[in-house]
Amino acid sequence: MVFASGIFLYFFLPIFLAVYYLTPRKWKSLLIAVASYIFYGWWRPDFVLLMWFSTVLDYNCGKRIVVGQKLGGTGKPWVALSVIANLGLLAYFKYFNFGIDSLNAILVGFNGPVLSFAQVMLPVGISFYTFQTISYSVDIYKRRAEPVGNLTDFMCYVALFPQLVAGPIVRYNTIAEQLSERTHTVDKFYRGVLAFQAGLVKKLLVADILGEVADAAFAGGGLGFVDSWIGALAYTFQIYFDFSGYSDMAIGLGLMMGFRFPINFDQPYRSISITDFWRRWHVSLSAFLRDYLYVPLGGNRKGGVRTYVNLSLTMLIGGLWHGANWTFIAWGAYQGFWLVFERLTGKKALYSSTPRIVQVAITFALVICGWILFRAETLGHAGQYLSQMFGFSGHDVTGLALRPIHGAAALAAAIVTWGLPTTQGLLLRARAVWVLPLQAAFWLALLHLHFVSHVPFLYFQF
Amino acid sequence: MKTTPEAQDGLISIPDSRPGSMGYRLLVAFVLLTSIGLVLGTAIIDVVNPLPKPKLMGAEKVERELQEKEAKWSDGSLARLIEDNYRITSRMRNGLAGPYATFLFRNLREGTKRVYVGTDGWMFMRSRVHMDPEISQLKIVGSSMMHAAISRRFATLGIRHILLPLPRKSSIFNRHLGIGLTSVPELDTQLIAAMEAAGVEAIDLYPSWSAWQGEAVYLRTDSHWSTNGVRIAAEQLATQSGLMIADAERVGEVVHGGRLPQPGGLFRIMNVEAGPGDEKYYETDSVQVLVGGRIPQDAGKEASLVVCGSSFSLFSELRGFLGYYTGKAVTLYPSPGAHPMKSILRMLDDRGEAGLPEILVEELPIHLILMWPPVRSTLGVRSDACKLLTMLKPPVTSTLDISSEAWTDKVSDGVKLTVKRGRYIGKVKPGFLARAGTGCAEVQLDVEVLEGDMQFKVVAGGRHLATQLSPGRQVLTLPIPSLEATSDQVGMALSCLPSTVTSSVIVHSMELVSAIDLSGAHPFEISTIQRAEEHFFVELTPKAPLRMKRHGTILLGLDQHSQEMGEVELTVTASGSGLSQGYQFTSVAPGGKIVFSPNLLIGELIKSVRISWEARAEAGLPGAPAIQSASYYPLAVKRGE
Repeated sequence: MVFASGIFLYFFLPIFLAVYYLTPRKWKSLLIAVASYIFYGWWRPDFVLLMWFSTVLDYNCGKRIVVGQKLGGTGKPWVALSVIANLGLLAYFKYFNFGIDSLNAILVGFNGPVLSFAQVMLPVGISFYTFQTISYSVDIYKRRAEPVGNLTDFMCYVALFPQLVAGPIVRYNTIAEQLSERTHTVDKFYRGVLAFQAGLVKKLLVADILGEVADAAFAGGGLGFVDSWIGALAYTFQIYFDFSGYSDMAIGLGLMMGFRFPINFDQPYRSISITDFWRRWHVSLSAFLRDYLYVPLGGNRKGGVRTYVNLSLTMLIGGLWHGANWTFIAWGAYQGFWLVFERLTGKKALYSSTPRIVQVAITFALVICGWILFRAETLGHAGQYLSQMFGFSGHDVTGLALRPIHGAAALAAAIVTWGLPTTQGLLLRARAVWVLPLQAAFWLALLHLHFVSHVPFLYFQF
Repeated sequence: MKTTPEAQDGLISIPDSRPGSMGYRLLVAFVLLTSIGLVLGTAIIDVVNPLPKPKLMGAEKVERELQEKEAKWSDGSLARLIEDNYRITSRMRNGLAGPYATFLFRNLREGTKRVYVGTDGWMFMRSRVHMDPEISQLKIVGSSMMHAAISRRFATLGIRHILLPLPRKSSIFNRHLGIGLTSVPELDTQLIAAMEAAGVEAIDLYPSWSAWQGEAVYLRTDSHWSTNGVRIAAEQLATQSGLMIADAERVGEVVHGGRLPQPGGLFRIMNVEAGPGDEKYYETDSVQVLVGGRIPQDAGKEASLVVCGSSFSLFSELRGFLGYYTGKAVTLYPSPGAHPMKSILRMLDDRGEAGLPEILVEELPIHLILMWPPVRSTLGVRSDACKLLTMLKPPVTSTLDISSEAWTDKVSDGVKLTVKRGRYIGKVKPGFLARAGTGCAEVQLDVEVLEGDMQFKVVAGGRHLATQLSPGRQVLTLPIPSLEATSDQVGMALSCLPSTVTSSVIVHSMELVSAIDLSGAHPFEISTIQRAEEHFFVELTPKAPLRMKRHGTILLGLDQHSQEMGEVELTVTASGSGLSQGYQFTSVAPGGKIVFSPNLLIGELIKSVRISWEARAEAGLPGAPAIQSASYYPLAVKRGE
């Protein structure tokens, strides 16, 4: 099920919330878990079994870790089992096809036999919930959190439908207390509604409309210099508004249910460097990678060279997490390169000595170039697109079918990106000056939802 | 540019709950009441007072019924059906969509998901603009073959069949699609070439329509031709078919009737009311033929030239211009919103054998080419085409006509093949006679796709059944795509998908299989050939009492020396109730098999099977099918995957 659909908005959500508020506190977790399974299994019920497997495994691993530690052990085998099993699931469902294809490409190069296997279908959201269950085992192992009291609460944590399929990644230690103790107030509900509305508006009125331009630009065929930049900009805004829109909706739904989820975006396109960008973009992922990968690898504690290696490796893996394709690996490498570059040059970086607005502009341009790698189907496609952006395409005609609605969406995107406070700011202030226009935009978004068939969120595929 | 401070714990933070001012409370109440009211209000209205489901007809109805029948949770199809049903029956959605569409169109010149609004008031059906990637050679070849078969059959009835394919509006006016969005007319030109190659007399309108510099040949806000388009089409048809008469022989006069307002159907499809500012887009120059100051009347059953087609031929101007240029009495048989097949069937029904026309013009909008692949929604069209072929009775035995360029039988099993885009490999085994309405005759493919997505197609009787193959080894068993009795050859083909440049594949085996369990057979006694009036027949009687069971299948083996025949009728009769079930085969090839499953007689005792055929007047002797074996098999049907 997707948030931006009639079935979710008009039936699932109101029925769920009504039942939720009528249910005694002790049954709320069970209700959330059941509702989440319905939400998740709506299109593919069989994938719920996979989630149950992961849930039961990690619940038991958590218990064993604690028992082991109480008996004087470390609980290491159980945390290892949890990590290996979850990464194994992720590797199989997400990277098996990619691995076989890549291996076959090598084998063919050496005239070797070609391996053939049935294609594996990727369960939606597996990248998110496997990371969450890993965070549970590791947090218990590191004694950063107490193990969950019962299986129902853990089912609720893993399956929590607002953030199940596209984040934010909610680490166990950040939400452990809320699973058993959280408040429900009208004010919280109200702000949850605002966040949800903001997300829906971002998704329907900006991301989906600009997505048309991006799809046309990346569909292949030659584009001129201007058009390729327009296409790249359209995708830059599409991915931000799509993903941050989903995060806002997730945060809003969480608040309606009394949860406080992590902030996932903090005006990333106002960043003054790539390092700054990664503090603001998909914050829950970068924090996860930092705490569960970069730091365990040694972080910056083992000297300069090792720091750069760790940084690059973390970004490579972060890129691969987004998808099984060389383009994502290249995108991770690209991000890693700029992080290392900025760290190496420090204050001496060319753009760090420029005025803030120039720094923002340069960073934004670097981010846009990165999105080309992210969006392209293949590395060759990315190369071709980038060559167009830098005037090597040989095309100079306007090739994109731009309509006034695209201009309106782009203008709205620019205003929201650089002129308005973040969703966090909106929730903090919740003033009429923001809230009333948001209501109008929300009504328009609902109208638009009636008008178009639903378009899935981009981050469902990751 | 200020950024918002992050909450200390990284979680979204909200201020502590506080009573707040009256203004704040009012704001909260406003937001919650309006939001909850909107959501609940919509849900209640849509549940309590939903719109009735639209009445579907023809192919759409068949598709919908199949969707509903086969929907299940496990693959998400039921969920999608529920969502789709809600979308269709939502009163709120349908009530608001119109005003919102009008708002978007008026303020941003924005169309809907069905209608694309181009430049200068031009509107296009989106599906027809974007259909080129869906073209495959097989679709075009399949369509051409079917039309060729129809043409041949009309020819034996003394009817000249002229196909008038209509180029798509987006091909002719792609400059109005909007900046850079182009619709390459590949489909249009490929189809004409394929039709001509298959022996169909086709009129190519594309050069004349695209070169026309005057008043547009298509209406801007509609999918139909303008009167100018009609005039040029009629002129081209008369010229290219050699039917053009001399100026002096013409009856009537071409009259320019000034500007004519024609607010198009695309406004309606967008759910938008044409407004006062839109006339400039839909007013067109009116051109027509008048005879004695009047529009010529429909010639009814007397017409020597009939036009069958879809809604495009609705316009009476076409009748006028065709009459004007060819000097013939013309009748139109439009079939609004349907495929021309329906129109042809109606014409045959209307005129009967005695009043068949001299010339039949089949006006076929090119986008309807996509009605030929055997997807569910096209079953209606294919069924109509089969009905037509059955009605028209084959003049000669004809097997599936597969051009050597597209097909080859030189594929050795187990050899790795690389297939480039647009090239096909396949294997056709001649002489197989099959009927597969209940899945009792199938094809089997054991294939290993190494790279690239491929498509496997089974062709029988002009129908195709296709399935996509992803890399990996797979054994597929597919039913022969035939809904009615056919004895045409069955062909199989592997091809690249249009989106795949190169595919590699190892074909381990590619076989026509009969999935009948040959054990437990009940043999029949085969009589000698007998004569009854103009027919010969052979009677088959079960050697032991035989009760028809579900999937029970009768298999007749034909001798290699059997003579080829045009048409064979086969009737199975039950002894108790006297019920009978009949089949008609369009051709019978020597050495083949006739496989049929008299499913209407399940539970009945089978009395006999009679195979009858028309006596050949010229020889006076029967062209005998020489049935070598005849047995009933109780079951064992391997269903297709």
